[in-house]
Amino acid sequence: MNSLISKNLHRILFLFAVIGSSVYIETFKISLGQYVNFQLILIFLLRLISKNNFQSLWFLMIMSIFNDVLNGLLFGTSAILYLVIHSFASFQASIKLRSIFISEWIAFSLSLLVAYIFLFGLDYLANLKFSFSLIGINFILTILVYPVAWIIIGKLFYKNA
Amino acid sequence: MIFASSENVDVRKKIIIYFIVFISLFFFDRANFQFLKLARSGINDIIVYSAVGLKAPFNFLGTVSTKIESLFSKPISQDDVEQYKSEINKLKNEKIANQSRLEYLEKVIGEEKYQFKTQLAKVISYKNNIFSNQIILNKGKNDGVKINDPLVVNNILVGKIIEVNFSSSQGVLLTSINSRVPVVIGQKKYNAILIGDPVAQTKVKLDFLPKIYSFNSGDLIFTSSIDGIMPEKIAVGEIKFDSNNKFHASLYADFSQLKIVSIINLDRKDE
Repeated sequence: MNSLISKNLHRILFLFAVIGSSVYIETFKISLGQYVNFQLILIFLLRLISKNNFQSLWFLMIMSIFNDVLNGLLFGTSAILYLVIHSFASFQASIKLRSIFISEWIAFSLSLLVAYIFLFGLDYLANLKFSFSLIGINFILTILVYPVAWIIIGKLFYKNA
Repeated sequence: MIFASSENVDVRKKIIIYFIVFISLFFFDRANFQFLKLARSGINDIIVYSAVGLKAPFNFLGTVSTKIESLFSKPISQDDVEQYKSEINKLKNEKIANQSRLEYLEKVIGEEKYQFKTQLAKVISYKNNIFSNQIILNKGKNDGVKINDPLVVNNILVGKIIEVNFSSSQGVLLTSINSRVPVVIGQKKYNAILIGDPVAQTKVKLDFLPKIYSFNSGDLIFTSSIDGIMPEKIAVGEIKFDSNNKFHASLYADFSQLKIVSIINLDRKDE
Protein backbone atom coordinates (compact mmCIF):
# COMPACT_ATOMS: atom_id res chain seq x y z
CA MET A 1 0.00 0.00 0.00
CA ASN A 2 2.77 2.37 1.07
CA SER A 3 4.82 1.54 -2.03
CA LEU A 4 1.76 2.18 -4.21
CA ILE A 5 1.31 5.61 -2.63
CA SER A 6 5.00 6.53 -2.87
CA LYS A 7 5.06 5.31 -6.50
CA ASN A 8 2.13 7.55 -7.34
CA LEU A 9 2.91 10.39 -4.96
CA HIS A 10 3.73 12.76 -7.83
CA ARG A 11 0.35 12.03 -9.40
CA ILE A 12 -1.52 12.51 -6.12
CA LEU A 13 0.26 15.83 -5.55
CA PHE A 14 -0.55 16.97 -9.04
CA LEU A 15 -4.22 16.00 -8.69
CA PHE A 16 -4.38 18.06 -5.48
CA ALA A 17 -2.75 21.00 -7.28
CA VAL A 18 -5.29 20.89 -10.13
CA ILE A 19 -8.29 20.69 -7.80
CA GLY A 20 -6.87 23.00 -5.15
CA SER A 21 -6.10 25.76 -7.63
CA SER A 22 -9.78 26.21 -8.43
CA VAL A 23 -10.94 26.24 -4.80
CA TYR A 24 -12.20 29.62 -3.66
CA ILE A 25 -10.95 30.70 -0.22
CA GLU A 26 -13.89 32.54 1.28
CA THR A 27 -11.96 34.31 4.06
CA PHE A 28 -9.49 35.98 1.72
CA LYS A 29 -11.90 36.11 -1.27
CA ILE A 30 -9.30 34.60 -3.60
CA SER A 31 -8.50 31.37 -5.39
CA LEU A 32 -4.90 30.29 -4.98
CA GLY A 33 -4.67 29.41 -8.67
CA GLN A 34 -5.32 33.06 -9.47
CA TYR A 35 -1.93 34.06 -8.09
CA VAL A 36 0.36 31.04 -8.35
CA ASN A 37 0.41 28.28 -10.95
CA PHE A 38 1.32 25.33 -8.73
CA GLN A 39 0.66 22.82 -11.50
CA LEU A 40 3.48 24.11 -13.69
CA ILE A 41 5.86 24.27 -10.70
CA LEU A 42 5.04 20.66 -9.83
CA ILE A 43 5.52 19.35 -13.38
CA PHE A 44 8.94 21.01 -13.64
CA LEU A 45 10.13 20.06 -10.15
CA LEU A 46 8.88 16.49 -10.13
CA ARG A 47 10.25 15.81 -13.59
CA LEU A 48 13.64 17.09 -12.47
CA ILE A 49 13.60 15.06 -9.27
CA SER A 50 13.05 11.75 -11.08
CA LYS A 51 12.93 10.87 -14.76
CA ASN A 52 10.22 8.32 -13.91
CA ASN A 53 7.84 11.08 -12.81
CA PHE A 54 5.38 11.83 -15.64
CA GLN A 55 7.45 9.60 -17.96
CA SER A 56 4.25 8.45 -19.66
CA LEU A 57 2.28 11.58 -20.34
CA TRP A 58 -1.24 10.10 -20.19
CA PHE A 59 -1.87 11.27 -16.62
CA LEU A 60 -0.85 14.85 -17.39
CA MET A 61 -3.05 14.86 -20.48
CA ILE A 62 -6.12 13.64 -18.56
CA MET A 63 -5.45 16.23 -15.87
CA SER A 64 -5.15 18.92 -18.54
CA ILE A 65 -8.70 18.15 -19.73
CA PHE A 66 -9.81 18.27 -16.08
CA ASN A 67 -8.13 21.65 -15.62
CA ASP A 68 -9.59 23.05 -18.87
CA VAL A 69 -13.10 22.20 -17.71
CA LEU A 70 -12.59 23.56 -14.20
CA ASN A 71 -11.15 26.83 -15.52
CA GLY A 72 -13.47 27.29 -18.49
CA LEU A 73 -10.69 27.04 -21.08
CA LEU A 74 -10.83 25.51 -24.53
CA PHE A 75 -9.74 21.86 -24.64
CA GLY A 76 -6.02 21.58 -25.20
CA THR A 77 -4.95 24.89 -23.61
CA SER A 78 -3.60 23.37 -20.37
CA ALA A 79 -2.13 20.39 -22.24
CA ILE A 80 0.02 22.69 -24.39
CA LEU A 81 1.30 24.52 -21.29
CA TYR A 82 2.04 21.24 -19.51
CA LEU A 83 3.89 19.92 -22.56
CA VAL A 84 6.02 23.06 -22.84
CA ILE A 85 7.06 22.85 -19.18
CA HIS A 86 7.51 19.08 -19.41
CA SER A 87 9.81 19.35 -22.44
CA PHE A 88 11.95 22.03 -20.76
CA ALA A 89 12.17 19.92 -17.59
CA SER A 90 13.05 16.79 -19.58
CA PHE A 91 15.80 18.67 -21.34
CA GLN A 92 17.11 20.10 -18.07
CA ALA A 93 17.00 16.63 -16.47
CA SER A 94 18.92 15.11 -19.37
CA ILE A 95 21.80 17.62 -19.17
CA LYS A 96 22.14 17.97 -15.41
CA LEU A 97 24.78 16.06 -13.50
CA ARG A 98 23.72 17.31 -10.09
CA SER A 99 20.99 19.60 -8.83
CA ILE A 100 22.00 23.28 -9.09
CA PHE A 101 19.19 25.44 -7.81
CA ILE A 102 20.02 28.63 -9.70
CA SER A 103 20.27 26.97 -13.11
CA GLU A 104 17.00 25.09 -12.46
CA TRP A 105 15.29 28.28 -11.38
CA ILE A 106 16.42 30.13 -14.50
CA ALA A 107 15.35 27.19 -16.68
CA PHE A 108 11.95 27.17 -14.97
CA SER A 109 11.53 30.94 -15.48
CA LEU A 110 12.40 30.54 -19.14
CA SER A 111 9.99 27.62 -19.60
CA LEU A 112 7.27 29.58 -17.84
CA LEU A 113 7.85 32.53 -20.14
CA VAL A 114 7.56 30.29 -23.22
CA ALA A 115 4.45 28.61 -21.76
CA TYR A 116 2.78 32.00 -21.15
CA ILE A 117 3.66 33.16 -24.67
CA PHE A 118 1.83 30.04 -25.92
CA LEU A 119 -1.04 30.93 -23.58
CA PHE A 120 -1.30 34.46 -25.02
CA GLY A 121 -1.31 33.01 -28.53
CA LEU A 122 -4.00 30.44 -27.72
CA ASP A 123 -6.19 32.97 -25.90
CA TYR A 124 -5.83 35.38 -28.80
CA LEU A 125 -6.93 32.64 -31.21
CA ALA A 126 -9.84 31.74 -28.91
CA ASN A 127 -10.92 35.41 -28.74
CA LEU A 128 -10.61 35.36 -24.96
CA LYS A 129 -9.94 38.64 -23.20
CA PHE A 130 -7.34 38.57 -20.47
CA SER A 131 -5.83 41.01 -18.03
CA PHE A 132 -2.09 41.50 -18.59
CA SER A 133 -1.63 42.68 -15.02
CA LEU A 134 -3.27 39.56 -13.53
CA ILE A 135 -1.22 37.25 -15.75
CA GLY A 136 1.89 39.31 -14.90
CA ILE A 137 1.25 38.92 -11.16
CA ASN A 138 0.65 35.20 -11.65
CA PHE A 139 3.89 34.88 -13.66
CA ILE A 140 6.03 36.72 -11.10
CA LEU A 141 4.53 34.99 -8.05
CA THR A 142 4.92 31.57 -9.69
CA ILE A 143 8.62 32.26 -10.21
CA LEU A 144 8.96 33.55 -6.62
CA VAL A 145 7.18 30.54 -5.11
CA TYR A 146 9.44 28.09 -7.00
CA PRO A 147 12.30 28.18 -4.42
CA VAL A 148 9.85 27.42 -1.58
CA ALA A 149 8.38 24.52 -3.56
CA TRP A 150 11.93 23.37 -4.42
CA ILE A 151 12.76 23.05 -0.72
CA ILE A 152 9.47 21.40 0.33
CA ILE A 153 9.07 19.01 -2.62
CA GLY A 154 12.78 18.21 -2.65
CA LYS A 155 12.70 17.19 1.02
CA LEU A 156 9.49 15.20 0.57
CA PHE A 157 10.71 13.24 -2.44
CA TYR A 158 14.30 12.64 -1.46
CA LYS A 159 13.01 11.29 1.84
CA ASN A 160 10.75 8.87 -0.02
CA ALA A 161 13.29 7.90 -2.63
CA MET B 1 16.15 20.01 -28.12
CA ILE B 2 18.78 17.38 -27.34
CA PHE B 3 17.81 14.36 -25.31
CA ALA B 4 20.60 12.09 -24.19
CA SER B 5 19.19 8.59 -23.74
CA SER B 6 16.78 6.37 -25.70
CA GLU B 7 14.29 6.79 -22.84
CA ASN B 8 14.29 10.51 -23.48
CA VAL B 9 13.90 9.99 -27.21
CA ASP B 10 10.66 8.16 -26.37
CA VAL B 11 9.56 11.08 -24.22
CA ARG B 12 10.35 13.49 -27.04
CA LYS B 13 8.24 11.44 -29.46
CA LYS B 14 5.36 11.38 -26.98
CA ILE B 15 5.60 15.14 -26.44
CA ILE B 16 5.44 15.80 -30.19
CA ILE B 17 2.50 13.40 -30.70
CA TYR B 18 0.52 14.80 -27.75
CA PHE B 19 1.31 18.35 -28.86
CA ILE B 20 -0.15 17.68 -32.33
CA VAL B 21 -3.18 15.88 -30.83
CA PHE B 22 -3.98 18.64 -28.33
CA ILE B 23 -3.38 21.56 -30.67
CA SER B 24 -5.80 19.86 -33.10
CA LEU B 25 -8.27 19.40 -30.23
CA PHE B 26 -7.95 23.10 -29.40
CA PHE B 27 -8.79 24.13 -32.97
CA PHE B 28 -11.68 21.64 -33.17
CA ASP B 29 -13.06 23.04 -29.93
CA ARG B 30 -12.60 26.60 -31.15
CA ALA B 31 -14.36 25.80 -34.43
CA ASN B 32 -17.40 24.74 -32.36
CA PHE B 33 -17.94 21.40 -34.10
CA GLN B 34 -21.28 19.88 -33.16
CA PHE B 35 -19.86 16.42 -32.25
CA LEU B 36 -17.22 17.97 -30.03
CA LYS B 37 -19.85 20.20 -28.43
CA LEU B 38 -21.84 17.14 -27.34
CA ALA B 39 -18.71 15.34 -26.16
CA ARG B 40 -17.64 18.48 -24.30
CA SER B 41 -21.03 18.73 -22.58
CA GLY B 42 -20.75 15.12 -21.41
CA ILE B 43 -17.13 15.47 -20.27
CA ASN B 44 -17.93 18.77 -18.53
CA ASP B 45 -20.80 17.16 -16.59
CA ILE B 46 -18.66 14.20 -15.49
CA ILE B 47 -15.73 16.39 -14.43
CA VAL B 48 -17.86 19.06 -12.76
CA TYR B 49 -19.77 16.57 -10.61
CA SER B 50 -16.71 14.46 -9.77
CA ALA B 51 -14.79 17.65 -8.91
CA VAL B 52 -17.54 18.65 -6.47
CA GLY B 53 -16.84 15.48 -4.45
CA LEU B 54 -13.08 15.78 -4.72
CA LYS B 55 -13.13 19.46 -3.84
CA ALA B 56 -15.26 19.01 -0.72
CA PRO B 57 -12.30 18.65 1.70
CA PHE B 58 -10.52 21.58 0.03
CA ASN B 59 -13.64 23.72 0.22
CA PHE B 60 -13.92 22.84 3.89
CA LEU B 61 -10.34 24.02 4.45
CA GLY B 62 -11.15 27.16 2.45
CA THR B 63 -13.97 28.06 4.84
CA VAL B 64 -12.44 26.71 8.05
CA SER B 65 -10.99 30.06 9.16
CA THR B 66 -14.43 31.66 8.75
CA LYS B 67 -15.91 28.88 10.86
CA ILE B 68 -13.24 29.34 13.56
CA GLU B 69 -13.89 33.09 13.54
CA SER B 70 -17.61 32.48 14.01
CA LEU B 71 -16.90 30.39 17.14
CA PHE B 72 -15.56 33.47 18.88
CA SER B 73 -18.33 35.78 17.77
CA LYS B 74 -21.03 36.84 20.19
CA PRO B 75 -23.93 34.33 20.36
CA ILE B 76 -27.35 35.58 19.26
CA SER B 77 -29.64 36.25 22.22
CA GLN B 78 -33.42 35.74 22.38
CA ASP B 79 -33.89 39.53 22.30
CA ASP B 80 -31.94 39.72 19.04
CA VAL B 81 -34.12 36.97 17.53
CA GLU B 82 -37.27 38.89 18.49
CA GLN B 83 -35.83 42.07 17.05
CA TYR B 84 -34.97 40.31 13.75
CA LYS B 85 -38.48 38.82 13.62
CA SER B 86 -40.10 42.21 14.00
CA GLU B 87 -37.78 43.66 11.36
CA ILE B 88 -38.69 40.84 8.94
CA ASN B 89 -42.40 41.53 9.53
CA LYS B 90 -41.83 45.25 8.98
CA LEU B 91 -39.98 44.56 5.70
CA LYS B 92 -42.72 42.16 4.56
CA ASN B 93 -45.36 44.82 5.13
CA GLU B 94 -43.25 47.42 3.35
CA LYS B 95 -42.87 45.04 0.40
CA ILE B 96 -46.65 44.55 0.17
CA ALA B 97 -47.20 48.31 0.31
CA ASN B 98 -44.53 48.95 -2.34
CA GLN B 99 -45.91 46.24 -4.62
CA SER B 100 -49.43 47.70 -4.56
CA ARG B 101 -48.00 51.19 -5.13
CA LEU B 102 -45.92 49.87 -8.06
CA GLU B 103 -48.96 48.17 -9.59
CA TYR B 104 -50.91 51.42 -9.30
CA LEU B 105 -48.11 53.43 -10.94
CA GLU B 106 -47.74 50.86 -13.74
CA LYS B 107 -51.45 51.27 -14.46
CA VAL B 108 -51.11 55.06 -14.46
CA ILE B 109 -48.23 55.17 -16.97
CA GLY B 110 -49.49 52.16 -18.95
CA GLU B 111 -46.14 50.41 -18.80
CA GLU B 112 -45.84 46.87 -20.04
CA LYS B 113 -45.13 44.44 -17.24
CA TYR B 114 -42.41 41.89 -17.82
CA GLN B 115 -42.92 38.45 -16.43
CA PHE B 116 -40.13 35.95 -16.84
CA LYS B 117 -40.03 32.30 -16.03
CA THR B 118 -37.22 31.67 -13.57
CA GLN B 119 -35.70 28.64 -11.93
CA LEU B 120 -33.40 28.35 -8.96
CA ALA B 121 -29.97 26.83 -9.43
CA LYS B 122 -27.31 25.88 -6.91
CA VAL B 123 -23.81 27.23 -7.39
CA ILE B 124 -21.67 24.08 -7.31
CA SER B 125 -18.37 25.77 -8.06
CA TYR B 126 -17.02 29.30 -7.98
CA LYS B 127 -14.07 30.00 -10.27
CA ASN B 128 -11.89 33.01 -9.82
CA ASN B 129 -8.75 32.74 -11.91
CA ILE B 130 -6.59 34.84 -14.25
CA PHE B 131 -8.98 34.29 -17.14
CA SER B 132 -12.39 34.52 -15.65
CA ASN B 133 -14.75 34.99 -12.80
CA GLN B 134 -17.28 32.26 -13.34
CA ILE B 135 -19.73 29.98 -11.57
CA ILE B 136 -20.87 26.45 -12.37
CA LEU B 137 -24.56 25.75 -11.77
CA ASN B 138 -26.38 22.47 -11.25
CA LYS B 139 -28.96 23.14 -14.00
CA GLY B 140 -28.32 22.50 -17.68
CA LYS B 141 -29.84 21.79 -21.08
CA ASN B 142 -32.12 19.11 -19.58
CA ASP B 143 -33.67 21.81 -17.35
CA GLY B 144 -34.25 24.24 -20.21
CA VAL B 145 -31.23 26.48 -19.58
CA LYS B 146 -29.91 28.27 -22.67
CA ILE B 147 -26.82 30.28 -23.51
CA ASN B 148 -27.19 34.01 -22.61
CA ASP B 149 -29.91 33.40 -20.01
CA PRO B 150 -29.47 36.11 -17.32
CA LEU B 151 -28.55 35.15 -13.76
CA VAL B 152 -30.14 37.14 -10.95
CA VAL B 153 -30.07 37.16 -7.17
CA ASN B 154 -32.81 39.09 -5.33
CA ASN B 155 -33.80 40.75 -8.64
CA ILE B 156 -30.23 41.99 -9.16
CA LEU B 157 -28.24 40.91 -12.19
CA VAL B 158 -25.08 38.93 -11.39
CA GLY B 159 -24.16 37.49 -14.78
CA LYS B 160 -25.30 35.32 -17.68
CA ILE B 161 -24.98 31.76 -18.92
CA ILE B 162 -22.15 31.20 -21.38
CA GLU B 163 -21.99 27.44 -21.68
CA VAL B 164 -24.63 24.79 -21.22
CA ASN B 165 -23.95 21.12 -20.55
CA PHE B 166 -26.57 18.38 -20.09
CA SER B 167 -26.92 18.70 -16.31
CA SER B 168 -24.78 21.71 -15.50
CA SER B 169 -24.05 25.12 -16.94
CA GLN B 170 -21.39 27.77 -16.72
CA GLY B 171 -22.19 31.38 -15.94
CA VAL B 172 -19.91 34.35 -16.38
CA LEU B 173 -20.13 36.96 -13.61
CA LEU B 174 -20.35 40.70 -14.32
CA THR B 175 -16.85 41.15 -12.88
CA SER B 176 -15.26 38.75 -15.37
CA ILE B 177 -13.03 40.30 -18.01
CA ASN B 178 -15.06 38.46 -20.67
CA SER B 179 -18.42 39.87 -19.49
CA ARG B 180 -20.24 42.41 -21.68
CA VAL B 181 -23.71 43.64 -20.69
CA PRO B 182 -25.62 46.48 -22.40
CA VAL B 183 -26.99 48.88 -19.79
CA VAL B 184 -29.06 52.05 -19.47
CA ILE B 185 -27.92 54.65 -16.94
CA GLY B 186 -29.84 57.29 -15.02
CA GLN B 187 -32.92 59.32 -15.84
CA LYS B 188 -31.42 60.47 -19.14
CA LYS B 189 -31.12 56.82 -20.17
CA TYR B 190 -27.57 56.85 -21.48
CA ASN B 191 -26.67 53.62 -23.23
CA ALA B 192 -23.37 51.94 -22.38
CA ILE B 193 -21.71 48.56 -22.10
CA LEU B 194 -20.79 47.29 -18.65
CA ILE B 195 -17.48 45.44 -18.92
CA GLY B 196 -15.77 43.34 -16.28
CA ASP B 197 -12.42 44.74 -15.20
CA PRO B 198 -10.59 42.64 -12.58
CA VAL B 199 -8.06 45.37 -11.82
CA ALA B 200 -10.59 48.20 -11.34
CA GLN B 201 -11.67 49.16 -7.83
CA THR B 202 -15.29 48.11 -8.43
CA LYS B 203 -14.28 45.27 -10.82
CA VAL B 204 -16.36 46.79 -13.64
CA LYS B 205 -16.16 49.74 -16.01
CA LEU B 206 -18.51 51.50 -18.41
CA ASP B 207 -17.61 51.64 -22.08
CA PHE B 208 -19.22 52.98 -25.28
CA LEU B 209 -20.83 55.92 -23.46
CA PRO B 210 -22.17 58.77 -25.64
CA LYS B 211 -19.74 61.62 -26.39
CA ILE B 212 -21.55 64.00 -24.07
CA TYR B 213 -23.00 62.77 -20.81
CA SER B 214 -23.42 63.85 -17.22
CA PHE B 215 -24.01 61.59 -14.26
CA ASN B 216 -25.32 62.25 -10.79
CA SER B 217 -24.31 60.22 -7.80
CA GLY B 218 -26.87 57.47 -7.28
CA ASP B 219 -27.95 57.22 -10.94
CA LEU B 220 -29.31 53.73 -11.35
CA ILE B 221 -27.89 51.24 -13.84
CA PHE B 222 -30.34 48.84 -15.46
CA THR B 223 -29.98 46.26 -18.23
CA SER B 224 -30.91 47.24 -21.76
CA SER B 225 -32.47 45.00 -24.40
CA ILE B 226 -30.58 46.82 -27.15
CA ASP B 227 -28.66 43.66 -28.14
CA GLY B 228 -31.84 41.59 -28.23
CA ILE B 229 -30.36 39.13 -25.75
CA MET B 230 -30.69 40.62 -22.29
CA PRO B 231 -34.17 41.57 -21.03
CA GLU B 232 -34.42 45.20 -19.96
CA LYS B 233 -34.89 46.83 -16.56
CA ILE B 234 -33.02 44.34 -14.39
CA ALA B 235 -31.18 46.28 -11.69
CA VAL B 236 -27.38 46.12 -11.97
CA GLY B 237 -25.93 48.88 -9.78
CA GLU B 238 -25.53 52.62 -9.49
CA ILE B 239 -23.14 55.47 -10.28
CA LYS B 240 -20.88 56.59 -7.46
CA PHE B 241 -18.29 59.36 -7.30
CA ASP B 242 -14.96 58.98 -5.53
CA SER B 243 -12.97 61.64 -3.66
CA ASN B 244 -11.41 62.87 -6.96
CA ASN B 245 -14.94 63.47 -8.32
CA LYS B 246 -14.46 60.65 -10.79
CA PHE B 247 -17.49 58.46 -11.44
CA HIS B 248 -17.51 54.67 -11.40
CA ALA B 249 -20.14 51.98 -11.71
CA SER B 250 -20.81 50.22 -8.44
CA LEU B 251 -22.53 46.83 -8.55
CA TYR B 252 -25.31 45.86 -6.16
CA ALA B 253 -24.48 42.15 -6.24
CA ASP B 254 -22.23 40.53 -3.64
CA PHE B 255 -20.38 37.83 -5.57
CA SER B 256 -18.71 36.28 -2.57
CA GLN B 257 -22.01 35.05 -1.18
CA LEU B 258 -23.34 33.27 -4.23
CA LYS B 259 -24.90 30.00 -3.16
CA ILE B 260 -28.19 30.02 -5.07
CA VAL B 261 -29.04 32.03 -8.19
CA SER B 262 -32.16 32.41 -10.33
CA ILE B 263 -31.84 31.66 -14.03
CA ILE B 264 -34.24 33.68 -16.16
CA ASN B 265 -35.46 31.36 -18.90
CA LEU B 266 -36.01 33.46 -21.99
CA ASP B 267 -38.05 32.08 -24.87
CA ARG B 268 -35.54 32.16 -27.67
CA LYS B 269 -35.33 29.84 -30.63
CA ASP B 270 -31.73 30.61 -31.56
CA GLU B 271 -30.07 28.10 -29.25
